[in-house]
Parts: sequence; structure tokens; C-alpha cells
Amino acid sequence: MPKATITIFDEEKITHKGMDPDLKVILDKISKDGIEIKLEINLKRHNFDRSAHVFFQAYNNRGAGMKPWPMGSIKDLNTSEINTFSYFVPNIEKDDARFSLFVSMTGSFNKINVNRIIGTAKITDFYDEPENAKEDNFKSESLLPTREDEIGTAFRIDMMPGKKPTLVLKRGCNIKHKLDNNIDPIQKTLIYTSAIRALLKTYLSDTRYEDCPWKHKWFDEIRKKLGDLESVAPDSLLDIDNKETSTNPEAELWIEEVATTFVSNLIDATGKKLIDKFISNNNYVGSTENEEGDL
Amino acid sequence: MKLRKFTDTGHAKYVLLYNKIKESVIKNNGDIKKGYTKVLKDEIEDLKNDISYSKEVLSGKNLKIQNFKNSYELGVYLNNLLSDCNQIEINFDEKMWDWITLFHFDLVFSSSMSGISEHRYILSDDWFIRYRHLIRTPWYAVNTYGNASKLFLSKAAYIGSDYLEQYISHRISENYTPSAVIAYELYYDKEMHKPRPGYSKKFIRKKGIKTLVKASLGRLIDKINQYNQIYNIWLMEPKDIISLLPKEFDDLKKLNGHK
Repeated sequence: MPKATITIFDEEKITHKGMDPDLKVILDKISKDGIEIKLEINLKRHNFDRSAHVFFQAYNNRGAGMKPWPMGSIKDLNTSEINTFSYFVPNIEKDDARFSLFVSMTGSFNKINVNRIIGTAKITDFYDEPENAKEDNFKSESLLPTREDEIGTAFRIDMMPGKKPTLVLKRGCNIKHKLDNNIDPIQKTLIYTSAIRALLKTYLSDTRYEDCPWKHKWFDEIRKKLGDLESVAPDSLLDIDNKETSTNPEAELWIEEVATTFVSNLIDATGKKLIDKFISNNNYVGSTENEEGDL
Repeated sequence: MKLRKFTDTGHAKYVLLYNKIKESVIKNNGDIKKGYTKVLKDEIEDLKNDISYSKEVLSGKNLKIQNFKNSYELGVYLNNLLSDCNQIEINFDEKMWDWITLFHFDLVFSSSMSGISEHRYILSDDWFIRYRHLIRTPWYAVNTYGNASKLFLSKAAYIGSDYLEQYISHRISENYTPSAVIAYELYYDKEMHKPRPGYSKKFIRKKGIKTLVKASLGRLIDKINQYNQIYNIWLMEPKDIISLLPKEFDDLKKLNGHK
């Protein structure tokens, strides 16, 4: 009896962030017609077949993908340590730019010409040089990354001692897309204000986090952002006196100050504060009265 | 009239006016003829003619009220109209797209249509609904897919076709734009100049049971998504990708002269 077999290829992941990545996509210049990018690539460590070819594609997160640019064969690329390429990506804004890199080989399947992928990278951010390699690339990554999940509420904070906190967003309702791409200042303001309050309240009230490295990283970052490196964060959100528990008003004020600095005063590339965009967007919608009436 | 875009006030007025029209149609039990009253029609005309609510787009050409056989013809006209504009600036400029909608309101708002959703007339940036706009989407489809967009834009300008809805809601429609050529090659009847019926939906109900439609557009998208994981499909000819498709597509391949 004939047996159908398929060949499983190992597909290599090409790194594009952290220390010594295989690929760096750097934003070089923004013009009114598009963006200029610089690409540094070194794929030697992967031992790809020398006949394989490398392609780089730009696509618009809010529109169409472009035809990939050929970057040459592995044989050619591996002759030098680092290869630098420059591309102009037309009709795209920097925040909407996404990229893919493919290493592929021609072949045939059932006598049909195919181009098999043997290495890929999906790039959603421009390369950000880590400030200090010893910090495990901590500074080049978000302190509060987002992920989607099937949850009942629109969002929640996922926290565990010793683990980086995550902002979990309800799947299927577009919140992650809007937050990650800075599309909706109203959602961003409300969600992050609430998330940072919840996160700090946990750090200041749950003793299991006393030695959590992520708590320390958060508090270091807060000190820097508040502009006072000598300032001391409150010890606890709770005052316990003769077995009676009450909230510490100073800690509450500190949490509000941090939320204001981290969220409300967050400035975009044009110098506009998030809270100002929140105000103008809220006023622009302007039909709240009618909506309430309908309810 | 030369291409214009709403001012902030003009756009807010347009949004409110559209909502008024929608409410009026709803009050008349969905009867567009009754709900879109003479008074509302006059308000549309007044807003269109009051240039204090809009401003000229410098690189735009002249618009002309005209009839289009289908959305494809409308898309070709819009693509030409906007060809000299900065594509980044116009891409999601709802004040411009909605002003063009107002200018051609009679074309896209018809008593023959079945839906009055505001997303057809007021551009939203939301991924789920942004392609429902009856003016921007024909432009986008012609601009992005060229001739292949005939498959998606075969209906009257006031209708968002099912082929369009089923195709454009998938990420692959953006990441691998030649997928439109593959879909066009399979599902567009070039002799009859219309899409082949019966293939736009991935599932249909047969005797109350959800049933997969073989070789449907949804199945094609499944297969292209699969190939996209293993092949560098951008480098492959659409005809080679069509050849890779499984047996369920054989009849369609033959109909369209593919192996």
C-alpha cells in the first residue's frame, strides 16, 4: 500500500530585537510621502543553504503589503559581517509600518514551482538599542506588555510574584490593536490609568511581591519618571494599627501622581499630552446626551 | 466641483445629519423611501452646497455627478480623482472620504438597498468595519488590486458585495495582495463579466445544518493562509498557486482554463 510522506523542514526564527539580533530595522527618516529605513543583517549563524535567497517586505498595518525586495543570496550576504540596506517605503506612516523577512529556496512540489520558506522574522517595531546588555534587555521592552485572551471583562492585569506583569485584553474586540497602535486616546487613557492603579495597589499591599525583581524595576522606572531619584516610594498601601486596617492616604496620593505622570502626561511625537487628546476626543464625540437618552 | 474635505464642524454636522436620516428610516420600519424625506434630502443638498463647512483639497481634481454601472466603475473614477493626492494624507482622512460620500450621496444611498448602517457613510478606522465604507472601499480595492477588484465591486455602488465582505475581512487580503488575482482568476466569469454565484460564502445552511461550501472563497483563503506559512508566495506565480489547490477546486480551475 503506497504511503504518503511529507518532508518537514526546520524553519529558523530570525531575531530582530535584543542583543546582537540577526536583523535590525532602523527608522532613518520620515518624509511626507513615506519613510526611509535602514536594514542591518547578518545571518551567518544560521547556516542557511548558500543557494537560498533573502527577501524583505514592508506592509501597512492599516493597508496593503508591498512586493518584497530581494536582498540577495545567502552566499552573497555571508561574504561580509554586516550587510546594510536602505529602502524607501512609500505611502506609509511610521506607526503603521510592519515588516517581514523571508529566507526561501526554490524547488518543486508535484511538478509545480514553489518557493519554500526556511527562515522568517515578523517585525512590528523598529529596532531599539538596549541601553544596558546586563539588564536582560529590560529597558528595550515594555514594562507592561499587552496580550489578548478570552476574558469576561474588557481588560485585567495579570500578575504573579517574580513575573513581569501583563495587561490582558479581551480578544475579539480590537482593544489590543487600538492600544498598541495609539489609535484611540480615550481607551488608552482609561485602560492604562486603571491598570497602573491596580498594579501599584498590588505591589504596595501584597507582601509576596517584596522581593519581586519586576516590582523593583517598576519602582526604579517610577523614580526616574517622577524626576526625583532620591524619592522613596511608600512602603505599603495599608496602615495597620492595633489590628485595624486602613488605607494610607500618602500611598494613595503617590499612586495618583504616578498614574498622572505615566499616563495623563504621556507625550506623543508632536508634543501632545495623552490627557489633552483624551479631552479633545471626548468633546468631539459630543453626542453623549443622546446616547444616554436612548438608554 | 473641485475635491473638498469637511471642516471639523462640517463633519460633525454630517455625522448628525446621517444619524437623523437613519433614525427617520428606523421610525418608518426600515422603509428608506418613506424615511429619507424631502426635508432630509434638502438638508443633504444644503450641506453639500454650503462651502463654509468644507475646504478645498489642493491636489484634488474635479468631481462630477454621474452614474456608475457598478462599484468598480466608481472605484476607477475615484482612483483617478485622487491620483495626484498625497496617499498618506488621504488614506484614512474621514473628513475627505465622508465629504465625497456627501457629494455622491444619491449614488450610494438608495431606496433599493437593504441596510443603512452608518459605517457605509461615515468612515471608521476600526479594523472590523473600515471596509464597509461605500466610497473609500471601491477606491482602496481598485488602487490595491487593480483589475482583479472587479470580482469584489460588481454590484451597484450602494451595495457592499458578499465577495468583498468575505475577502477583505481576512488579513491575507492586505498582506498578500496578489491573493485578489487568484480569487479573480477562479471566481470571476470573464465571459459573462460577473462573479460566479455560489462561491462567496464558506458556509451555508442546508436543512438547518451548517455546511462547508467546497472550493468557496473562504476555502481558498484557508489554503492561501496555509501556503503563506510554508512558501514565499510573493515569489510564486498566481498560476502556480492555483495549481497547488486541492481537488475540490478542479472544476473551477477547468472553467477558467487553469491546470
